[in-house]
Formats: sequence, structure tokens, C-alpha cells
Amino acid sequence: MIDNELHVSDLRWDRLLAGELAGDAKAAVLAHADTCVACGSRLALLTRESEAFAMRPGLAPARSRRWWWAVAPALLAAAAVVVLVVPRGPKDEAGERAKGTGPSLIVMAGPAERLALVASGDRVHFGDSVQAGYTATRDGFGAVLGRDGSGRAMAHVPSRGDVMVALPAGTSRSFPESTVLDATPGAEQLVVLWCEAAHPLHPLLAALAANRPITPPAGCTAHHVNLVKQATPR
Amino acid sequence: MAAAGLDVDALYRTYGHSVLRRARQILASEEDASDVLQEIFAGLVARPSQFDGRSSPTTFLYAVTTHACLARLRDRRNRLRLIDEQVRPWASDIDPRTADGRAQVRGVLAQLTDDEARAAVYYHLDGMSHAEIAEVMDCSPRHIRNLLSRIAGRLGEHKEAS
Ligand SMILES: [Zn+2]
Repeated sequence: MIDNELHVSDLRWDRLLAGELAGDAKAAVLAHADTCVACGSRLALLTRESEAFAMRPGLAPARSRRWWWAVAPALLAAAAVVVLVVPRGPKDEAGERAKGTGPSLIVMAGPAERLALVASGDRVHFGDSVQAGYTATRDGFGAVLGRDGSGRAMAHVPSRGDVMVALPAGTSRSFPESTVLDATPGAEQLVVLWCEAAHPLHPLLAALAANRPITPPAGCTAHHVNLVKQATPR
Repeated sequence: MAAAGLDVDALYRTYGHSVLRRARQILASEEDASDVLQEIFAGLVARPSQFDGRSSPTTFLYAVTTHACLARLRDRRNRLRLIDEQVRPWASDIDPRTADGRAQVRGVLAQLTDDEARAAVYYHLDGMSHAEIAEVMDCSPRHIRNLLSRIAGRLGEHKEAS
């Protein structure tokens, strides 16, 4: 049996691949991999595996859907709320955020009766519904903006007017409106915004239309999701 | 991870490969490993407070994955199947841990106490040092040394019996 104290464990390789190692700790394991054939080959293997996992085609929508069903009964009990939200982050424990956590924002999409958590890179289809959700410890305001495959920028929420909607503090709450996606194929960018104050939307929509990065106003949190919209599979 | 909170989807993308690989190593079954992967991340979506941020996500997911896999080994009462099963190698030919050693450890996992089984997984399957195991199991390196020597005893018995 090889001495674990002399070599690099999978735990350390996983930390390296996750970006958790820095400075001397990172340099030390990389230097070891350069001189130890066994560890160098292990690192190469784990790197390939993690890259392959990241590339798994079609995994995300199916996986998200399964997550959704796994937790759906509890959430459905809360009526139309279709939101999975995680209120705490690692920093909370250390007390670095004494004023409370910032809001958590998510996007769910899919056929109306089967919404699933989506993230950048996921596919959606013509006619799918999109619903944003949030958890926030304070009352705030929000909007869901988008840019479709033709380059058109629009506000999904609010569906009319230029003012953000009120978002009362709460856990796992839905934005007040959902959107049904039209039949414009291609890249579907979504930006979910939560702000301490209500801001006008036209500067943000102008930036989106010009394909410039959105700079959220102070006191705002933005969640970007870049989806791929395509025809509904038959 | 966004400062706003725990982004489970980002966690999945960054750490899913490690959860899946380790589950496969412990359970020696692709199907069971995929189930454990789903179970763990669905659990995080439903109960995010399990991750309290006191350890790194990697350390946290190591502990959660080990626990889920060992529970599955016990719950499914498939110990004998696993012991007899010809397990295909999960790593490169020149891995620091020998394939024989790994199969042997997998064979005795179900006969160990929970603490012993966890330490055996970390030491023999993940190649972790005493200090690393102590950190993940949240106990002293001395306790780990004791556990590992008990496991060595069991492995010896297992070898003689086979
Ligand atoms: Zn080495």
C-alpha cells in the first residue's frame, strides 16, 4: 500500500479542480504531480473526468426536472410558488454579512406544468413558460429582462410599464408574472434583477438591445441565465 | 458561488463529477452512483441549510457522499453481492492505490462500523492522509489512527478467510 502521507489525495485534487487551492498549497501539489508519475496520471484522469462531466450533453434539463420533482410536493403545498431557493451562503456563518444575506434569485422554465430550474447553457423550447423566483430578507423591487435570438430586448416582468415590480420579503417566492417564450430561435438571455429601490428599466433594456453588459444600479443583485431556445421537439 | 447564497446548480457543475466518481468508487455501480448524485443535489435544493459553510464545498460533499453511499450499502442489503462482484478498475493503471487493495476494502466495508467504514473509504479509496480524514470526519488524528489500525486488522482477517 502506497503511503498516503507522501502523495496527493483525491480530496486535494478535487479541491484543486474546484479552485479551492491557492498559493503555496496549489504550487505544492502541482510540483508533486510533475515529479510523481502516479499522482500526475491521477490528476490527468480526474481533470479529464471533470471536463467530461461538464460537457455531458442534455444533462442539465433532465437533471433539473428531476430535482424539481424531488422537491415538488413540499413546494406545491405553498400553492403556485414554483421556486427553489437557497437562502444561506458560506459567508453567513462567519458573520461577515451582519445586515443579512442578499437575495437569492433563480429561473425556472419548461412546459407550464413541468417547470424546472434552469441555468446557462440549458435548452428551452417555443411555448415554454419562464418563471423567476427569489428569497429575500427585505422588501425590494425587481424585473426580469431578456434579449432573444433576433436581438430584441424586452421586459418579461413587468409585462407593461417601465417600473420594477414590488417583491415582498419572503422565502421561495415567485415574481408576480411569468412569461411564455415565443418562436424566435437562438440565444435567449435572461436577467433577473432584485433591487432595494425601484429603478427605471429603459437604460437596462437599451444596454441589452445593444448587447452591452448590464450594469445593475447600486443596491441591485442580478442573476444572468443564457438559454438556447429552439423548436418544440415532436 | 454567488455571495447572495448557495447556487446549487453551480455546485453541481463544479463538484458533480467528484460526487459521481466517489459514489462509483464506493458502490461499484454506475446506476447506484447516478442515483446518489441526484439524491445529494436534490437534497441540497430542498434543504440548503445542510451546507453551513464551515467547511469547503469539497469537504462537505465528501462527507455527504460517503454517508449516502454507506447508507445505500446497508439499506439495500447488497453487501454479499458487492463482495462477490468483480469490480472493474476505476482509475488509471498506475494509480497510487492498488486495484487489489481497493476491491478488498470494498469487500469489507459492509462489515465495518460506520466510523470504520468512513475512514476506510477515505484512506483506501480516496488516498487521504490522517490529517485530511480527521478534518472531514471532524475528529482527532489519533482517533483516525486507531480506526485505521482496527481496519487493518479486519482486512487481515478478510484476506486469511478468502
Ligand atoms: Zn505522488
